[in-house]
This record gives sequence, structure tokens and C-alpha cells, in this order.
Amino acid sequence: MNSAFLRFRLRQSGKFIREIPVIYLVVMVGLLLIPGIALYQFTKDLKGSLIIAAILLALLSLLQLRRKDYRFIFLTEENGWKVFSMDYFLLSLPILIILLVNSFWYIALAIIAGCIGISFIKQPFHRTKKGMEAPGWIPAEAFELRAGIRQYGGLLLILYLSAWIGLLLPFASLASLWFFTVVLSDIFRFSEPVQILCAQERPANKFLHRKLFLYLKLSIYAIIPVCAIYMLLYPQHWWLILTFLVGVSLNIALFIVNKYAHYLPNTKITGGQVPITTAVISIFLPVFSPVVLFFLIKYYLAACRNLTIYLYAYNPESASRI
Amino acid sequence: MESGKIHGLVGLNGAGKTTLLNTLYAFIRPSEGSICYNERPLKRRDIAYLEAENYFYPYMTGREYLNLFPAGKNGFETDSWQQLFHLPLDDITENYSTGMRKKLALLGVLKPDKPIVVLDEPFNGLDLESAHILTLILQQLREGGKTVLVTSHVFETLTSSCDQIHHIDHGIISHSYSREQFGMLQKLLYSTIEDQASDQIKKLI
Repeated sequence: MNSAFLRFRLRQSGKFIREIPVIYLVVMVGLLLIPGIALYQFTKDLKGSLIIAAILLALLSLLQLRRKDYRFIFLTEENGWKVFSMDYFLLSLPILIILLVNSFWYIALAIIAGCIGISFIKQPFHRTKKGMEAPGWIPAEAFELRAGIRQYGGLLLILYLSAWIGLLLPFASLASLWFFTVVLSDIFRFSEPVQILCAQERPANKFLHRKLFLYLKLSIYAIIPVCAIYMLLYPQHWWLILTFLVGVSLNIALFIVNKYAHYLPNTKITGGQVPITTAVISIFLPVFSPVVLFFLIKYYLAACRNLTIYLYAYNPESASRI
Repeated sequence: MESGKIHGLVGLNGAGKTTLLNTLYAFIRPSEGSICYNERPLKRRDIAYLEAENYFYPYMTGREYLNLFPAGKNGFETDSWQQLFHLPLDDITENYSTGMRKKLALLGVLKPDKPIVVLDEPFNGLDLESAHILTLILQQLREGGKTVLVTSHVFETLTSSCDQIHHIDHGIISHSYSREQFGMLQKLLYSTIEDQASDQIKKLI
């Protein structure tokens, strides 16, 4: 059974890599080289190697406590620990190779032993925590935001409060608000069931426009007060505020159209990650804004086409008849 | 189908029950023919549809789910329904059991108060009390003049509530049975299974 799981894991990895477009793969490999080289340099001495080993084992322990397939493997495998330890060994392989190259073979052995030990950690049964309650003034239609506050409420609150506190320093406030929108990008990563999509009984374009208007309105309500005070305190940065507001508005619109361009009921949105990343970076590098605008238009059209598959029945001229 | 009645739909797996319901709800466009309601083309706005599998948005509470659906002209007393079904509407749906999820989805279907109610396997996952409540709800919907179409693999749940049961086979309604003929339909369905499967089962187990 373990060899079957190993083959399955290797097939999963192969599929994951094959699905990444080549250009993105090249960029990713290039980007990963930088931390790879940094890790290699950091683990040249014993202290660095021990720190990396400790961080790695801590992360693997966290994974053991949170992995979603724990119960499945626990129930189907007589020796589930073998499957887990194989997974953690594969995940540790890059670090193990770097340690071996740096001649810290005994730390590599300790990591392997750690992987086996972590495999025996039992995952406690836990109910999904309800999280922070969303304020009542957020309308029901903004269920992504309500669910997002429940999931990330503490973090969003800290970032928003930091934006207010950060008004004491130039740029700090805007940096907090930028992180705030980065977290917001994650709340549009799940496709709702069709029943929810059809609940308002609107055709595709009206549905999309209403969603865009709703979230742009809510984000403006949140951001404008901070930006207004910032403008009063630092009037010489007026251009920055305007650029920031335009950038954030484009980004939020992109998050939404990206979601519905890739909408497939009850699934996680995996498409459009590179444009989303570009949009997030464009706040700091406005030169990317035309790229963001391009993807916004492209995904808006794709979203209208995609949503029509599910909402065509609400078009005024539609009927259940050929 | 006669309006103001409860219609059952039975058939083997793959017979076309869910395909028919999805076509009624305009999830699938029919390849030919038309679907009419009151001598005009049927619109999705006329139908409330409960699917067999029920999904919800992550980290959404039951109450938030229900708030997404506009209430019909008679209103909708969420708290009263909550008491009837013992649903923890202020908890997130991740913590709901299968039966709770079915009940919540059912409430989402009842709230808009549509003239046609289509329920695909509504009894799945319900406890005895809830199944009986659902039977009473179906009867009340009929009293209110609604047209109800129900599918179920548990024959007794259909015979206790339906006025007519339609048997679907390979995508075609082969026959429709009135209440007086339900016994005949049961014999037809079970005798086929009895003949083909009982010898095989004896050999396998």
C-alpha cells in the first residue's frame, strides 16, 4: 500500500507541475533559486542548519495537525504513520539535499527521524471554529466578506487598526491597507453553490455589475476615512492616495471578475493567480496597472460568458423551450 | 402534470430522474420538445429546486444562507422554522450533520414560495421525526395549491405523500400510477429486483 501511495503522490506532483504553464514554471524556478541559494548559504554553519531543521520540523508538525486527509489515511491504512512519514520525507528532500551538500549528514538523519516521529502525532478532532462574527451592516449578498471576516477576522481587524495607528508615520497606513486588500483577495477563492448564485434571479451581466458595485462600495467605505485623514496629514502625498485608491479599486474588481471567470460550483478557484499577484504588486509598481486593466477587461468578458451558462434562464427573452 | 398535486418520480439509478429535474430547472437545455406551465413556457423563476447533494459556502451560517433568498409574498418566519427543525442557524454549516444540511437546503427552497416545488431525494439523511415533518410539509404545500415533484429511493416515503407516481425508465416516463395503483407499482419494482438479484446474493454472501 505504501508504494501505491508513493506512486500516487508522485503522480499528483507530476500533474501539479504539468498544469503550470511553462513560462510560469520558468519564472517560479527562477524565483525559487533565490531562497534556495539563501538556504544553502545559511546552512553552511551548524547554527544555521539547526535553525532550519527546527523550523522545518515545526512546520511539518503543524501540517500533521492540520492536514485534511489525516482521517482518510488513518482509516484506510493499517500503518498510516508510514504514509505520513513518506510525505514528510518527500517534502524535506530539498533541505536534506542542501544539508548533505554542506556535510551536515547527522542533522539530515535527525530530520528523517523527526519526520517519522511527527507521523505518530495524533490529530485531535476539532469542530471548525465559527470565528469572529461579521457586523450586521454587511449585507447578506456580500457573503464572501462575511465568511472572510469569520475566517480572517482577527487579522483583518489588526490590519485595519494598524492603518489608523500608522497615520502617525508616512506610508505606514497605506502599507497596512495594502496588506488588508491582499487578505481580501483570498476571500474570493471559492465558488458558491449554484443555489446561491441563482438566489437573486438576475441575468449574468446584472449579477456581475451588482456584485462589483457592492464590493467597491464596501471597500471604499472602509478605506476612504483612512485615506482622507492621511491626505490631511500628508497633503504632499495626494498623488499617492489617488493612485492607491485607483489601484485598490482595480484590484478588488479583478478579484471578483477572476472568481466568476473561473467559477465552477462548489470548487476552489485556482485560475488567475498570476494576474492576481500582478495586481497586488501593482500597488507598489504602478507600471503594472495597464496589465491589471487588461486582465480586468479580459476576465470581465470571461465572467459574463461563464455566468451565462448558469444564469441564462434569467435573461428576459429566455424560456425553457427550444 | 396536474397542478396542486404531489407527484412522485421513481426509477433505477441512471434512469434519468435527476436529468429531468435539471431540465425543468433549466440547468440543462432540452434537446427537443418544450416545457410549459399554465400554457406558457416554464421559467426558472416559477420553480424552487432542492438538489440531492447540498452544498454551502465555507464559513457561512445557516441564517446567512437563508437570508440570501428573498421571501415569498406570505413572508417567512425563520425562527419558527428553526424551532420546528431544531437547526442551529447561527452555527456555520461546516458543523452541520447530513440531515441538518438537508433541512437547511429545504428551508432555502421553501422560503421563496414558488408555485412549483421540485425535490430531489429530500428524505435522504433525515431522522424519523424530520421525515414525518417533511411529509406534513408536502401535504400542506398541496393544500396551498402548489405543484410538487418528489423523487425518492424509499418507496414508502412516496406512497405516504404522493397523489401520483411516475415511473421513469431510460429517460422516458413509462407509466403513471394513481394512489390505487401504488401496490401494483411496488410489485413491479420489487419483483424485478427479487428475480434478478436474490440468487446472486445467495451465492455472493
